[in-house]
Amino acid sequence: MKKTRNVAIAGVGQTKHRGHREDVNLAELVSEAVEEVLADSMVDLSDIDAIVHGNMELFEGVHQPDMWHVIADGGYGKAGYRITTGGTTGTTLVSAADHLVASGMHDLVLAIGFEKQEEGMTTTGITNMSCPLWDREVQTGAITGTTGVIMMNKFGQKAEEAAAELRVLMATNARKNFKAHLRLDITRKDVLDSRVLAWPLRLLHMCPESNGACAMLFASEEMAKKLPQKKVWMHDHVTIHRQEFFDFAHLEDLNTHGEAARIIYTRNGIVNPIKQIGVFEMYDPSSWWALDWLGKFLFMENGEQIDMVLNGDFAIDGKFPVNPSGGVVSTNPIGATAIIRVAEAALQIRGDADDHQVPRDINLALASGFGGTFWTVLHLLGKDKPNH
Amino acid sequence: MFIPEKLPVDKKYCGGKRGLMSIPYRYYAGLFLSKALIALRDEKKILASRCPRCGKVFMPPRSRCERDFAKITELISVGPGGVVEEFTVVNYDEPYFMEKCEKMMKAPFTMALIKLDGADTKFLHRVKGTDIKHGDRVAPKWADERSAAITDIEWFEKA
Amino acid sequence: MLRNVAIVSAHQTKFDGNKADERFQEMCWPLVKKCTEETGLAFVPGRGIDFAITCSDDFFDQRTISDGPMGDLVGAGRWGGEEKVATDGAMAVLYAAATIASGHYDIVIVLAHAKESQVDSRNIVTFHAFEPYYSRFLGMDYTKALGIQADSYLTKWGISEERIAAIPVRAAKNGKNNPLALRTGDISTADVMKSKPISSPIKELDLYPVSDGAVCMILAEETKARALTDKPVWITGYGNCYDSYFLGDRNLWESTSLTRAARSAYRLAGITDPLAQLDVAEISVQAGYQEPFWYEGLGWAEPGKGIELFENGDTDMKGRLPVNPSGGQLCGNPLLLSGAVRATECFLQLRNEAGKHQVKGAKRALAHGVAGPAGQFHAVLILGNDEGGKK
Ligand SMILES: [Zn+2]
Repeated sequence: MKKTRNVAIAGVGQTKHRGHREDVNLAELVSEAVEEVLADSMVDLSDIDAIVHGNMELFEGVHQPDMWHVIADGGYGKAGYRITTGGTTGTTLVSAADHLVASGMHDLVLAIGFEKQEEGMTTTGITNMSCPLWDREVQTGAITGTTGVIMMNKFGQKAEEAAAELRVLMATNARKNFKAHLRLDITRKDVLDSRVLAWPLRLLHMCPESNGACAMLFASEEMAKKLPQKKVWMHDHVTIHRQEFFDFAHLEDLNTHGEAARIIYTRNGIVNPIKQIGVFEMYDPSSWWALDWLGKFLFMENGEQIDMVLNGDFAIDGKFPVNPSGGVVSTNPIGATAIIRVAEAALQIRGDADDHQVPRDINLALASGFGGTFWTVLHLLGKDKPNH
Repeated sequence: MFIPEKLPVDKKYCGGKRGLMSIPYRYYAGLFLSKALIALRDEKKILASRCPRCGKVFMPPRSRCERDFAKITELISVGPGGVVEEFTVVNYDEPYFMEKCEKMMKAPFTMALIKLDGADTKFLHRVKGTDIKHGDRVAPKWADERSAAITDIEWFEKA
Repeated sequence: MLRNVAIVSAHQTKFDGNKADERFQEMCWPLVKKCTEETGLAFVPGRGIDFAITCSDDFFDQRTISDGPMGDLVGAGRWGGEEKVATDGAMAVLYAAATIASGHYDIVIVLAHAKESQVDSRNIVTFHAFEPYYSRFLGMDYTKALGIQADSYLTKWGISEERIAAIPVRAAKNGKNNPLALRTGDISTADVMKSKPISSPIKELDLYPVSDGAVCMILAEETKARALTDKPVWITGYGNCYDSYFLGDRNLWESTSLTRAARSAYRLAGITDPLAQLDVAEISVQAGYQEPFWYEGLGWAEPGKGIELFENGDTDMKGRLPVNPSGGQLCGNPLLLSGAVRATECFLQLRNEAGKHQVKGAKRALAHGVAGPAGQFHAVLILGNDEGGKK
């Protein structure tokens, strides 16, 4: 995408994501992430121009929480933008910071995504997204077995094995990431024996409810030159939405991931994503969706991704590493979930992902967000400055 | 079907659905604020927090200084008496608040910003009655049954 | 901003106390239609409208991801993109401008809505804006916060309630010329003083009424803006800023965040003497006392002297700087939407399309939005037509 000026990621901070964080309140949780991004970027809080702040209000029942969080996120006396788009919020915050810096309006922008899932009722919160007159009473939130059924009809038992294997891979990766929430030691059998939520979707396929926050600092090129931390450059991003009432008879029509990938690849000269992109941090709310979506992002119409999963090609040291962080099935503080994808992708490019670092040079990384009624936000990050 | 009241005649066939978002929330105060809240319950003591960098004593307490971003770990006792600096006499009742807020007062009552002795900032609380003036000294009326919440002080009253 | 951005089309609904005959989608749709028909644009990224910014609130809509249905209305639901600004409407306009100035998009549609009547009380929503440990469960809401700030401001500067009562009177009078306004007419200061006390010193006629409404706008970069309209309205200055959250941390009688926001906007627009260089202003006044108070924050009057500017008639329709010719928020604009309505009114003024409340020859305008308890957050936009100092 054309851009008025280049934007760099100048720092990344995230809390440890946990199932229980009774030791801090919501504002304190946010300040942990801000403290870390300041340390990582070696920037003084007073140099930051603007805060971009987002989560889903009904998860904690706080109206416009950016106002309260001024006491803990350094927002006093600064410009502020509150941007929310459901599950994609985190990636939207990144797009927003990119807009605000590229526009010349601000030079140094702090984006903060967070959620304290333990304070509310996640599924009740999500079901309230449906129209109160038509489908709110029959909504089940993100818990759906439809994708699994379609895949099993198409590819048979192999698909179920692969979905379970993908979950095991995420657990293996998460165990290397001390910030991940679920760091499970599980086997394919454990996954397949876990409780059925909506067949063939099982408990272990599904993402958890986590508490955590993630903050990222974005800088203009001129500003970035003065900052000490290794830079990661914002290459491109795209947002693709589908309607509120989607067509259940033609679920293939919901391929926003494929459309987003097509746009990003075309605009950036990517003809072979597996070769050209070093790592993919994908928003995977469940392993079934992940299995399906990998095919969509990589244009595999015949289920080639199933064999790739069973081959171990998506492992940290595989052909196309996916979610070295452990992904969303391991960590899911919803307002932060998508920004964590971008943050983790940036860490991989910097080579700072510690134990879950992909063991090779990464020039390009992809990070996706998912939310709303099949909405996709896709970001492409790079080690080198983009040529626009 | 929900029919709203008091509509013009041409809108009388407008219906809808009565909804209630009933999501139970649990707000964890965190270790630091919990100490201050527990002191209300167990010791009838009001604790504020002092910034190690700028020395300001904040009431309500908080673990981070808004201006200099210093982490605050010190709680100090303030009050219990204080001075009413600003106030509003509330003349409406909100049925929802009656249900959700402990010991909610019926209107008219006063909502005031009170500067407790020893604190640098003012904090909000209800004050009994409507004949409050700026600069009035007030003291807390402690609830008999306390639950480690700000409403352990039922209200402030003229000292 | 590194690219010039203009508003090329803007429409607003009539504001009603209860639009029971329309769901919020139906309330918004005619506006989208007007904007797209007027410009001849369809939502086709790269070839028409590139992107959508919506502005709404999960609490008022009682709906998680309240922008879910809005994308369908603007057309973003067909492989387009949309982002939601969940604060005052002026911020949605500003953020839309940022997405264009960034070079990412050329034409962006903005759709903002609020239906306060859907909730039993506006206070239930703003109750949830208070942190849950020390303030919310005392029964706090924005109305009480306004009462406390009004007390602070009036006491600090020794301004009587009677003097403030003149503000809703003028708002209602200006509103008579605005066919979209809700609460207008001939009232007297005595009527205001007699009206039901809400949260002292604020009375019923002194406080903005509950209302439903929406705003739709199309913004574009310079070349396309020129092709779309003969009368583009440029965004030449902007600023927004947070103040402290806790009411007791602030000197409630001064507004540091408005001063900072205004200073930034003036600097960018090259304004050194706002009273002389601005031709019209639309500011968000939720309760009477805020009008003179915001004058001070905007740098039009010394602290405590805003009321004199009002009483001198300097901000009347025929004064040096007409303020709120539309009647403003006191005539009925919902929380959240006010800033977008203010920007729309400025747009009409600068295109000489404001009808009976037109300020003659307006070239440069100021739109202001506010969010948070007792004006914690302010947004200021400076708008100008082709003669209004576009850089
Ligand atoms: Zn301090």
